[in-house]
Amino acid sequence: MAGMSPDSGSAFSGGGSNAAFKKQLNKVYAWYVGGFISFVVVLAIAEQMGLTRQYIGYAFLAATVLLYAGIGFMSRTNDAAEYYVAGRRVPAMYNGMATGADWMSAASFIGMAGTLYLTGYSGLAFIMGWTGGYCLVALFLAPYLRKFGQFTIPDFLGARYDGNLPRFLGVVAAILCSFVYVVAQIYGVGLITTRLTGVSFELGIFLGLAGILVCSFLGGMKAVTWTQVAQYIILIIAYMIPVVWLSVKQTGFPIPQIVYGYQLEKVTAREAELIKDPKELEVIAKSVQML
Amino acid sequence: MQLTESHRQYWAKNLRITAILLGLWFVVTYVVAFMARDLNFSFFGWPFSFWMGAQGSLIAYVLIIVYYAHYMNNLDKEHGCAEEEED
Repeated sequence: MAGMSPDSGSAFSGGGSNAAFKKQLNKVYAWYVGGFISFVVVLAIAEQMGLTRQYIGYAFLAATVLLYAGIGFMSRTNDAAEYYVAGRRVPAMYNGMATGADWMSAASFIGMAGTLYLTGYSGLAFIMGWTGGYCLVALFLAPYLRKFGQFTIPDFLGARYDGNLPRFLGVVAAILCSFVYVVAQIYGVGLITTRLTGVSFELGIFLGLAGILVCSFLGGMKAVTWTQVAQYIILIIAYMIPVVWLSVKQTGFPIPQIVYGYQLEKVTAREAELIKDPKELEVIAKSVQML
Repeated sequence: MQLTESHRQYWAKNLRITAILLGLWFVVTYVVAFMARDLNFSFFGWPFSFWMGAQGSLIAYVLIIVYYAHYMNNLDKEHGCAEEEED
């Protein structure tokens, strides 16, 4: 298999066997987790010693962008198979982590809770849609894409159905999905950068885009996969700690997935109570008058 | 390439497992959503249809993918078209 690339000395290319490659990856990411935890501890100590919130934001942003840029730079490659499909040798668990990091993107991080709160049951269509979609990919596309040895879905459709019309349909579908997705993501990137650093929204967008460019341009899919795995580790920690904390505070049980149904029941009961509250009725009456 | 009996069996099994899992996928996605109003009994503190949307169907999706990957890996090995692992 074409696993060799010009820089086979670096941590993310490993010219040896798959088992050795996996072992090396485990080692790299174990160090990475240790580094991340000590970075957080150092920042916590600095905060106790009087570092302001703004500078903590700068430190986080600079460290993560530098880190992803570093991974992107180390994964640079000019081998087509490495660039488009990460050499087709990402271990399943790591690929799952990278996909998981895509799932927990800017849009789901800052938009999903509000969407669900506003739209209720119909909002769950987003959750089911973008998770259930993986089933369709797994059953219909991914195995054949791999066996056909193509790089992209339009390529695969062109080879499988032998013609430019299927390829064209694939291109249209890919552009449509990615365009809608990227608009939301870029907006989220701008919001987060602005929030963390206090730069203006427009500058935030460009900073975020520059980060993405550095991360993905030199190393393609290989760089994206390994930065996504790094992001997954940060994201899963950032998602789980507040929720587990809340769950322990509220219910005394540390697995929120199991107990949050009961909490929702309480919220619903409280909501019914609040709607009948005389003060709330006053506010509603006033807002109706203003309309 | 000449198709052998082994190839034909492989493809038949592949189609069968895809159809079965797709059927399961359809049930947890569309049938449950369509019947949402009738599936209102309480489950872990949730109305059942809400729980399916928020957790149940997602668990089902993951299980479908895990089972499919496992099944196809075995099928590949049985019919001698597994990928070569360079250990």
